[in-house]
Amino acid sequence: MITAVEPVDRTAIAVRAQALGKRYRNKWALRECTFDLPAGRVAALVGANGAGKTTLMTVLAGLLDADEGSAGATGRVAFVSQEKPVYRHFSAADMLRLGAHLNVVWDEARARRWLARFEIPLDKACGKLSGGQQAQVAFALAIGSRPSVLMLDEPLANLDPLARREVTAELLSEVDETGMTVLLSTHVVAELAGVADYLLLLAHGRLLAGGDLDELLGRHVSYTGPRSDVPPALGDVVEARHTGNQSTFLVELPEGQPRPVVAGQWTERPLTLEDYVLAQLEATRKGARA
Amino acid sequence: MTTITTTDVTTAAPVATRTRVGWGDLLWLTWRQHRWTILGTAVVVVGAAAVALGIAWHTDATGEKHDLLGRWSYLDVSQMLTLTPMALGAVIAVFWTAPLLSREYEQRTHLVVWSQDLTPIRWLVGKVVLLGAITVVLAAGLGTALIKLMNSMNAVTTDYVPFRPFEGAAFEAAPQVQVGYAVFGFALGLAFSAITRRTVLSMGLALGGFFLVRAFVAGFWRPYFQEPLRKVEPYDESPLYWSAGNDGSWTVNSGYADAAGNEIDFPQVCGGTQSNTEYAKCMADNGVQTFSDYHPADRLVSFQWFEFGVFALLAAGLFALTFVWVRRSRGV
Repeated sequence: MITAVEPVDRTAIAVRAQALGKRYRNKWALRECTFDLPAGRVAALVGANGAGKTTLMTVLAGLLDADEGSAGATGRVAFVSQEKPVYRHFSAADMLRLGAHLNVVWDEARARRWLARFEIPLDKACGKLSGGQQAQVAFALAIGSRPSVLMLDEPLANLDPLARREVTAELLSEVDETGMTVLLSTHVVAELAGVADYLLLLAHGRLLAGGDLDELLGRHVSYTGPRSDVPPALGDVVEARHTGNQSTFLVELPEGQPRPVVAGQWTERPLTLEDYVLAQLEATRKGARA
Repeated sequence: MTTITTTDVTTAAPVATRTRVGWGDLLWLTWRQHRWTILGTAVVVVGAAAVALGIAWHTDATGEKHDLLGRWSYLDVSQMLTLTPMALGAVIAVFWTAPLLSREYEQRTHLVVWSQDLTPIRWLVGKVVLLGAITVVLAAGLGTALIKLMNSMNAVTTDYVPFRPFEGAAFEAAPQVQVGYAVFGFALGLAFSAITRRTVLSMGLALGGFFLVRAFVAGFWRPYFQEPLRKVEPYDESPLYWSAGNDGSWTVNSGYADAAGNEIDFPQVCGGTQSNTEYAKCMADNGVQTFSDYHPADRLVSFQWFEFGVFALLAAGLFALTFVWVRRSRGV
């Protein structure tokens, strides 16, 4: 088996966007989007439907030109769009042949291993495969091209729950072996726990938050205690919820300061990815974020 | 994390690396995607050309038209065969290029092929050059075979000329004209395909557009590619009309003229004459002559090249439009 592991510079930037904007007629689908995605990360691009995830990905994949700002990815990019398209008259083997013919780097063994892993028949026309199987063929093609950056738009959308878990596991092992950077978009946040280590949060075409996931979650804390107008510790309130005689605050702690200790009737709870994303999205919907 | 259960991959080829996607790769893709369309068209075209050449050879060798099954002769078969060049350009437009881009857009596969290591423009250039080359060969081959057949038929027919060089079938079967039509059809279908992004719609538009442009050029423009020559003669009662054109010339307009050769309306005074002789006399007495505007036979080849030029220029414009369109609109 070939495991040609390329050295990965953990500080290198794999994908960069600067003041990126994309407009469809008069409506901006994406605006003032700036981030640097370090190499070797698995980044989750999260946002509500219509937040601009697909637009951002297609611009980053070079399939669409930006209207303002700039975007770029280092090395070769493989992109699998939301529909996981395949040629209906091609067999899975033909799709791999297409990959071998149309890429300057091609790892047949890796692509075949992916298909074998998900038990996809090689000689059957793709049009006769199920939606989930077609998705696996599309993934195998992308994996086989040995990209530096792999972009997957809603990769888990038409997979059953078991396949979802297997696909994410396989993806992570590919990342471990090849050192590629993965950017995947989704609106189902719960499935990303334990997969992504980097977060890009989009709402209404703008980037709400972006950064290392552990760092982001570590900087936030949820406090629950007696009804109060202010949280028990200093910081920006992302979300405040009051029910009866109880208050819950989601607080972004100030940077560079030790984590405050709260006592008394207040309890502190670390944040899950889902809590964080939902709170952020809700805040934008209310327009509460100044 | 799940451990990977690999099948035997040690026998598979190692990671292949090269500098660019080559023509061979584009050829593979083009053949794999369009092989049935190419083969289907090629079978019909090569079949028609082979039958035409066979008949021509047999006719030349024996010097006669051969009755087939009592009622049919080689001439009837030839006349049917001459319909194939009329259709070739339309077939290319409707079945080859009208679905070329639109089907990719409809099935979203353009996102697959354009996110490999080649740009949309390189992909498009590959398809246009490879399919275009086959188109040119088919059109030129079919035209050559049918011209050969028509010449053989003309040679063995003594009483009249079955295929006059300036008439539609013979004029348009010339290889360069055929190539012009086929390339134009190719470019027309491709342009509609890129702009509409709908397969059925672009097929319909390509079909309509192709015949509309062909009919316009053939009916309204071709007779005046060059200023016709005018011949003014006294009215002649003998029905020479039927033999007109046997010298290979093409009469595009005719009518009545005065003594000075200017076109005039039908002389009403002679309308009431009883016989041909009387009529001719009346015409002569009133100084009425006949004129015909015609193109001499030696203009044939330059007319055919002009027709080729018209369609080649249209095709070039449509290709330019398509490439600009695809480059500007990019993928999604």
